[in-house]
Amino acid sequence: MRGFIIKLLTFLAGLFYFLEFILPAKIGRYNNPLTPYIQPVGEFLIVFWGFAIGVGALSLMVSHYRKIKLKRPGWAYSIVFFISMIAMMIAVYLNSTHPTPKARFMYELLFTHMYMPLGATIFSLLALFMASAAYRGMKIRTLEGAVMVLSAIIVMLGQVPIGLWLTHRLPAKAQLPRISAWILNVANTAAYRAVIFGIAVGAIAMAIRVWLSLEKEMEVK
Amino acid sequence: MRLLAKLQEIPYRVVYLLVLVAIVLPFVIELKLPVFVSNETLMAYNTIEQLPDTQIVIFVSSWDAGIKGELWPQTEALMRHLMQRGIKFAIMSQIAQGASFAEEIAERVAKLYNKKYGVDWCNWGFLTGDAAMIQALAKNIPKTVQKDFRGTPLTDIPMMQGIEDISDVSLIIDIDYGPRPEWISFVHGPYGTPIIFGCASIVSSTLFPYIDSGQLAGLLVGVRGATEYESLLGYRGMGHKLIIPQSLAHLLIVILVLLGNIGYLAARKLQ
Repeated sequence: MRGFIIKLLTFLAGLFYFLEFILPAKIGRYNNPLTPYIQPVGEFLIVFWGFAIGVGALSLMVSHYRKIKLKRPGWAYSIVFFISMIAMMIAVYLNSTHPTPKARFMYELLFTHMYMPLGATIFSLLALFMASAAYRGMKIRTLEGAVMVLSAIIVMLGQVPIGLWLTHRLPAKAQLPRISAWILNVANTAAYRAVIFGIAVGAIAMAIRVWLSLEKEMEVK
Repeated sequence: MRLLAKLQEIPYRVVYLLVLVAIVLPFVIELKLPVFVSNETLMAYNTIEQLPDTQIVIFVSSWDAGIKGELWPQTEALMRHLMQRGIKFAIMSQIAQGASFAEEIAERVAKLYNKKYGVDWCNWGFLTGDAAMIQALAKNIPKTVQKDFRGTPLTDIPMMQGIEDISDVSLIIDIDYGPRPEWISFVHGPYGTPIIFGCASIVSSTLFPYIDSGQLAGLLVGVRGATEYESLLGYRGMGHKLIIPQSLAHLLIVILVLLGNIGYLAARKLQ
């Protein structure tokens, strides 16, 4: 029974959005009857999403708690997780409900002076890894490889001012930014459009499977 | 030949050090390079130039610290242009941290142009719900947003008076690591509202088809897009500062790729 209700709700929810989107705004003298409900259903979903975030946070806490309890490898990091999460929650709560200078200082310290540099540092490491990976991986072993390396070099240089500086004496059409723009706007667009078509067909098939509860993962045990 | 073959064996620590030098050098020695303004950036600029000042712009800013280097200068340049032109805009974010970053930039830019919160710009904060939220927002803005980032009801914000639905919005700007195509599907498609995306360089290749199809009114690509926009506005901001280290890093990677291939070919000849 529980499984049937879930399947029915999934189907009705999908049907509502599908029909609302596909039916014209005006059907003869009448307006699309589903359109007035988009707003309340949307609000309900926003609240629902809020619960989903809460469930996510809860599940994360349970998983880290178990790690600490069973002293699994890396359990000390789970303690750091709890300290960071609780500290940040207190800081944000105090800063928004009692915005005193002390609360502001705590928020600034944790968010602006810790979270922001940490996030930026993690992302910055990509530059080092990408440089190393490009040096090791971009080898011309085949004709296709040569085309890939050549276009990558043109785009890498054409995307930054140094590409224009290196080729500014050449005729406009031979300048790296223009060749790079051609690669992105013509060759890349054609190839990516083919990829999008593939993804879209797959997404439609997947959506229909979810809508009709044909996915195995949707089975209620 | 053996020496050339060694070129493909540069230790990764040396590569890291070279990247570090390439990035730090422009902060020590001032370098100036010419800026080429691409078509997609020019389109974004022209779209904002032609906007009417009777409607508002929705400024979606869904990025945080990790991508600040690329998207902060884009956000600042676009906000400067909007405030310069006297176009009112409402910030919102589809990630929890996004609204605070955008608020900080808007406050700084507002001081330059003497603009007031609530009159010239406001911040709706974090709105969850993705596609459902976008659809609901298009139909009824005050009901979907209800309160701003500071807890003020939307109905009490002067610039929001008379703003009901998407027909009161002249443009959507989405600045995100990978902007969400749902804005195209659920806003541009049914209502025709123009959309400008700002993204990280690495995901830009996936968005060019939307420029070609006319579904995007402009696209800012990473620091390059921000630098180009700054040039169009006639100021040298963070984009100009960051594009030089990026240029040198790209040049270094190209040199390393060429050296690696010379080493690879030499090693093959030796075999």
